[in-house]
Parts: sequence; structure tokens; C-alpha cells
Amino acid sequence: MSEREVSRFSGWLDGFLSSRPSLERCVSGFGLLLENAIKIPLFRCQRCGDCILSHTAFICSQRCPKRLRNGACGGTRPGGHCEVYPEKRCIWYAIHARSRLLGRVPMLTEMLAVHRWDLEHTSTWLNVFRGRKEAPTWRVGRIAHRLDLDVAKRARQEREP
Amino acid sequence: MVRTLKDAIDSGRFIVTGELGPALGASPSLVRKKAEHFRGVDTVNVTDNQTGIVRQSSIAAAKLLLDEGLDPIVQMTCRDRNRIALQSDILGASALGVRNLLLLTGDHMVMGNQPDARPVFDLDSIQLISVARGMRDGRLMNGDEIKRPPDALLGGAANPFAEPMGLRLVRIAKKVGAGADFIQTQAVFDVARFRRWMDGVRDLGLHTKVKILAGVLPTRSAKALEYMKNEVSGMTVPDDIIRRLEGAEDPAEEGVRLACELIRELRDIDGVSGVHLMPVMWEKITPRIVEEAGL
Repeated sequence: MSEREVSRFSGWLDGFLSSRPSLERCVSGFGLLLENAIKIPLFRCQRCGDCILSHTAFICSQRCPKRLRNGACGGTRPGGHCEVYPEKRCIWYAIHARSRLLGRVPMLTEMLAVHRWDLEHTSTWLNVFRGRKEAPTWRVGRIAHRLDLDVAKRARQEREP
Repeated sequence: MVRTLKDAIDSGRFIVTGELGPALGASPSLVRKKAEHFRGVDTVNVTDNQTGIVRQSSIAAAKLLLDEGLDPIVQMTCRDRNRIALQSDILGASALGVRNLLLLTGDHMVMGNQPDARPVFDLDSIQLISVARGMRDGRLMNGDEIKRPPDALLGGAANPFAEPMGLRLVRIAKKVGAGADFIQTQAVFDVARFRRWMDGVRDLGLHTKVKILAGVLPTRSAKALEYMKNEVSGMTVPDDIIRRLEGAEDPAEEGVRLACELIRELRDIDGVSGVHLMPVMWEKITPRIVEEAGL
């Protein structure tokens, strides 16, 4: 499907559901149930409704006590332990480690938008289909505002003969 | 003539910023008294309920400093205010004459004395910098136009001592990308480690886009350092520094010597545009350090 067709479909779906409140309640409830059944056990999803899993190497960043979307904060303790719960590891350390493993570090360089609280506890998948939220970015090459972090590596190689 | 951060940045000279915490009570005299110690620096940070302990509001204390003829940097954290309050405070601070903002995520309240408070964290520091930048360009977060936009330099914080280095560089790069004009770092004690971080910053070319002010924390007591190491989030204090102060005959003199040594070393690092002095509970030493370090 082309981008135009997708946007036409989501426009139609959004209008269709919005004009039928009881159907909308039913579909949202079912969507949320399905999404929670998959995402809570797999990712320990916090049901923010504005999912950014594809940017955070498929670890839910909303488990951070500050719910940071562009972590980690400056308060982490030595060894990567959380400022708030010293016995726990910082979730952003895990995100960084897995991003490196999966080659997804460039995804971390994109500034993620603020959380839309009006979407909390709704189904992200349905929100995407209804055009209320951007679709996830699967492929690293597709992100919009990447920083060239390889610059660092190259510059260092040039310095060392 | 009031010394301002903007003039210091424009002139290209080595920048010196200070920091003071507002009073725990309602009296204006403490901030006024502390202000006297910061006549010799370019600008003074006013902390925002640091470590989650209730104090006078940073904007109110900044107004007291403005009246004293100083150019304050108002610290704003995301801990206690949602996006509506933050935008409102940026407008309000600007109306009072505040020309510099340091935008932070903020320590969590569990570090403070009212851990049962509700954490807000509606935005994070990077998003807040981007919102403030948008407001300076004339738009609120929702896109509404601001007839008279706030005019302020925007700052961010960086912790060069937290792991992993790669993620730390991503964070500072994002802050610069979001529109920060200056970056103040956590207090430096381990210069070698700070150098390695600066190498990364220079590799990314960030030092040309943003003014980097290295944090220096003058102190006269090993006990205070021990406390900061264990109780203040994000602080890294090597044990040999604590031992050095413990073993000193005159800890105050040793503290001044240590701060001056650090400043001289930091000044020589390529890409460092200034220092940020944080004389916690020892504000009156600032003029001496400024003089002895040749700032």
C-alpha cells in the first residue's frame, strides 16, 4: 500500500469509529486487551499508549521512574544503578547495551517527542491504524534526524597513525 | 555595568559562572547576602529545589538577584511541573528580566526530604530545551504564536562521569541539537576522565556549537565530600580527593588550592569555554578562588 492509501485508510477508520461510540469502545477494549496480552509479558509494557519500543531496542523505556523518553538521566549511580532504586539497573543502560548489540544506536540519537498523555492506557496499535500516532520505525536507516556518531570513530582513527 | 552571560559569550573570554541555593525560609536577606560573593563572576545559577528539598522558588530568588544587579541563570527542573506550568514559568521569568535558563530533568524526590510527593516528569530535559527553543522562536508547544517571545540563553547539564560514555555523548548531542547554547557539567574531580569525555565531545564537533562550562566544586570539608558522594545523585568523588582533604592541616586552604589546581587544568583543555563554580555552603570563598585562579 502506498503512503496515500494508508493515510486514506486511517482517516476512514478514525471517522468510522468516532461516529460509532459503542463500536469504538468495543474495538478499543479488544485492541487494548490483545496488545496488553502480547506486550506486557514480552516487554513489561507500561501501557503509555504512545509506544516508542522501536526506538529503544524493544525494551520499554517507561519503566524508568522518571519515564524518560530521551534517557539516561544524569543521576545514575556507579555501575549503572538507578538513582531512585539503587538495587535496580538503569533501564537506559539496558537499552543502550541492546541497541549496540542490534546495531540500533542511531535510533537513540533521534529526539523523541513528548508523551501524549491523552493516549495513555489506549491501544498504540489502534492509534497507529487511526492515524493518531506515527507508525514505528523498524529500519535504522529510516530515522529522520540521525547524528553521525561514526564521526567519533573516524576522527580517532585519523589521529592514531 | 551588569556582567551578563551573553556578553561573556559574545566577547569570547573565559566564562565563570557561580551557583547559589535559595533560602529555606521566606526572608529575602539570605539570597541578597550571598549575592555579594558573586560580584566577580559573569552569572549565577539559582537552583530549583535541589535534591528535592523545598526552598524559595528559583524564579523569585532570581528576581532578588536581578535587583542586586546580577544576571542569574534560572534552573528549571521537570520534577514538579507539567508542560503548562513550565511554559508559563518560562514566560514569567522572562517578563521579570531573566535572560538565562538551565533546563534539567531534575533529581528524583526520593533523594529529598519529601519522598512521598508525586513525580511529574511530564517532559525530560531534552524535550524542555526544545520547547524553550521553540518558544524563543515564537511558538508554544501546541504551535500557538507568542506575540512577544521570551529571549533567553538556554543551557543543559551533562554528567561526564556516568557510564556508558557512548550514551552520554548521545545525550549531549541531543541537547545541542534541541537548541542548547551552553552546557554546564557535573563537578569535576577526576580530570583524566573528564579529558576522555571532552575527546568525544570534540570528535562530534559539539564544542564549536555550544559553550562547555566545566563544573568545579570548592569545598573545605572531607565530610561534605563524603556526603555528596553518597547522598547527592550524579556526584562522583574519587577517594584520594577525600583523603587529601582529610589529611590536610588546614582543610580550607587545601580546598582553595585544590579548586585552583582543577581550574587551571580544566582551562587548558581544548574546547572548555569556562568553569562553573559550585561552592556549596561556602559561597564566601568565591572571590578568592576567582582571584587566585586568575579568572
